[in-house]
Amino acid sequence: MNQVRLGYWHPFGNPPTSYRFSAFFAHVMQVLRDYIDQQTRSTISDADFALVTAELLPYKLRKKQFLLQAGEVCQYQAFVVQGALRLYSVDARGNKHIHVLGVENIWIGDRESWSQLTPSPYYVEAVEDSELLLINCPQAQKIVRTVPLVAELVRIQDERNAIATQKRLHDAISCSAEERYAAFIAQHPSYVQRFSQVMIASYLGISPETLSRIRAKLPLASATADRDTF
Amino acid sequence: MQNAFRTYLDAGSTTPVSDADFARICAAFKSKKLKKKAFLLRAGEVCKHYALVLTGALRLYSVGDKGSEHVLSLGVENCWVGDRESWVLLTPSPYYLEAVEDTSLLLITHACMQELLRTVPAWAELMRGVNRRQGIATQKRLEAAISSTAEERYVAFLAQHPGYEHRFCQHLIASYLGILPETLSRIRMKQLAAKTQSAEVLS
Repeated sequence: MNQVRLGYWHPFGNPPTSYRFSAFFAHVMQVLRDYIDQQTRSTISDADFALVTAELLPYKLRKKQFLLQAGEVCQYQAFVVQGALRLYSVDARGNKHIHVLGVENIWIGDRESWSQLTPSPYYVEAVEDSELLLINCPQAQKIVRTVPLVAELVRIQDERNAIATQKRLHDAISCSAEERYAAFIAQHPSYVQRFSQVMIASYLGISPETLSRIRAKLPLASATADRDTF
Repeated sequence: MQNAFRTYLDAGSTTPVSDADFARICAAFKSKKLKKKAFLLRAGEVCKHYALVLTGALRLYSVGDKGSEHVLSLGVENCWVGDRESWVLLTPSPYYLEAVEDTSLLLITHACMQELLRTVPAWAELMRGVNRRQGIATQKRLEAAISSTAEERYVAFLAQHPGYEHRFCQHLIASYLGILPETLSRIRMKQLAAKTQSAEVLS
């Protein structure tokens, strides 16, 4: 189960244990450690953190590679150390619908498929070259049980996710396309540079034409428009 | 009430809840009854309590600038309802939480919830399950709102919540699905026509 069965580029192939001494491994784990400390406003002990690192698998994706494709079981939740990904579905008419955009310090994956081991309807694709930390469900449950600080982290994340999704749902139901875009750039100022307009339109559930019309009206957005064309 | 709650707890946790823990959990909650159309929360107030529904049904909604109501969630037995953001951050809520039927609830403050999560492992496990299921459900609902047609959304709604059709009126369901009552009525007529047609073919 711990083997990465995906046939994509991977810096370690089937990772030998020695990879745990590589500079890359040290780097991604330090990022994770800072993240845990910052989120829980506490300091994780070396012993606890060793329990955490034992369960996580560092992984790299190049731009446009997939972590998950529709029909597969989502084996891993991915913590984004560096890079950007999107989670989307493709409907019967062939349209893509983006549900999640993820950048640094965000967890991405199909939670339902991951915990129930059901086939996922989603694709998770790298939008930039990305460095990830992967974890499967039994491993996650194990560290939640053994490391109280991780249980606390999961609780904080759940709370934050619930609030964010509730907000997004409220906006989707009750706000105009314009209001939704304004809220989006206020909440994620950097996303405008990292994701294409087509992706942002899909994430907001509006047509690219509508988004382009809205951006033309907003002075702030049109200032960054030139950069986006490259 | 105690029995219903106990059953709920035992169903949600793999480790059995001891009597001492159950007493501790019960002490953290207070019970509340709401008559139909009474409010647990009004816009502008802080959502002090998150509520577990024992019997009855509620709706959480906001009112837009033009006076239009947007139903964010519908809750029946064993559902948790409340404005999570306001409850956690103690900020004023933009939502109304109203009983759609006579309702009996168990209320808990955020502070009490934190205390329980820290001290009762079985409770922490139960809440992780609740959070996971809620996360998945909200995610699905969000996707439906963004990417499905009105008809697909209604079909998915019926499949996911078989009882809701009879407990919530059509305009609440339309608002929940983010479609016009007229559109919902048209979809229902179409489905009814398709059903009678197939019944005729069979006979």
